[in-house]
Amino acid sequence: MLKHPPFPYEPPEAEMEKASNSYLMSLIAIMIGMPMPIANLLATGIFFLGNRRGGFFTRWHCTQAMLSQITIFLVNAAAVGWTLYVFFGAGELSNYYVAYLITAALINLLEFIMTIYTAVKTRRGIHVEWWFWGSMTNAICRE
Amino acid sequence: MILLFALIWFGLSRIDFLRGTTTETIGKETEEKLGELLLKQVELKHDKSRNDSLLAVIAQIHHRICTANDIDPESIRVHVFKSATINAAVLPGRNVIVFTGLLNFTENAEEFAGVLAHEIGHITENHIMDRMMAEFGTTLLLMMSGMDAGSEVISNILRILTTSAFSREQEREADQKAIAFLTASDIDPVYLGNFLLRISTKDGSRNVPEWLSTHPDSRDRAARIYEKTSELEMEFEPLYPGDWSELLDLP
Repeated sequence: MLKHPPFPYEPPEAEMEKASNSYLMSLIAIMIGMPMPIANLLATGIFFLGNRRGGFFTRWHCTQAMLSQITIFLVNAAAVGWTLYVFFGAGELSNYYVAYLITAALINLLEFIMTIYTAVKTRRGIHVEWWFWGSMTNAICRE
Repeated sequence: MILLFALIWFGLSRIDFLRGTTTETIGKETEEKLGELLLKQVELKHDKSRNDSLLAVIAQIHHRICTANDIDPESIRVHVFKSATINAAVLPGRNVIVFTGLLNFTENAEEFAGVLAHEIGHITENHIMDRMMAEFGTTLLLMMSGMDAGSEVISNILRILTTSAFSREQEREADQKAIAFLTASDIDPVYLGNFLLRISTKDGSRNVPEWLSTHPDSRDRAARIYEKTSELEMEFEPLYPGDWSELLDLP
């Protein structure tokens, strides 16, 4: 799930802090993000744009944080949309709906744990690549 | 990643979380619970009518309309409250509340039957919960999840339900239903038109009947009812052979 491959260079203190903050941004916004999934995405998106000219370490982790937030946003937006459809539209309460909510909650929890872990590690300059999102980030982010 | 997500989702969906619970059953329970709470609020503000003769006639009309239209009369409850307010409303849980002010405004039993048939139309078409969902969606969601709504919220819901309007579409549907219910019950629907026309003349006056604020466009609706009833070729017997206003005046 998480890998710690060597990074091409040892990041300076300022880069470590910014990289760690990119993950913390999504945690800070999580309270608003529960009912409004776009808040988390916006928080990381704004941070990503603010640091797109930063060092490679910072850019790499901002990108990974943002990509994971896009996924979480899609999962949560579908959950909110489905809930509104069930309770205010013509949708039916079904096992598929409950199962989706549980799956979404599990993914959110997993992402939450991984975010805290990665924020701590990157603050110490340790490079953390997430399964799936890490590979995507490697494909997008160039030194 | 997507495959893993789908696998977890599909795996979990094999578990029967709901055990027969549906939005309909939750909605029905909430509606009944809410209806009881709202009725208690009305009872706190107004005394119930003790005019047994009038109540017996109202029960007969209610029974006649329901049985003629395959509606279980026991499933709909009609409550008469003492108040000068010219109003009648549908509350959740298939409850109809009628204020004596509205009864005093009617000129005969047929007019009251028309109003009652119209309110029953709102019930059979489920307008009340559609409106509740639209106006108090979040509050209802919290109530469905078992949260106590609090008396202030209940008072607010009651105020909105007894003073704000249904949509034009819902009014039209309830009128159409009322005409069908009344005709099937051998009651002349033209009296509903008479009542609507008479009440519409009160619009703009100082004491606008509350029924007008919850049932707008009365003049247009009366015209539509006259149009529909003109096609009917039926003879109707008087619904209450005695003196209606005398009946209303009984203590």
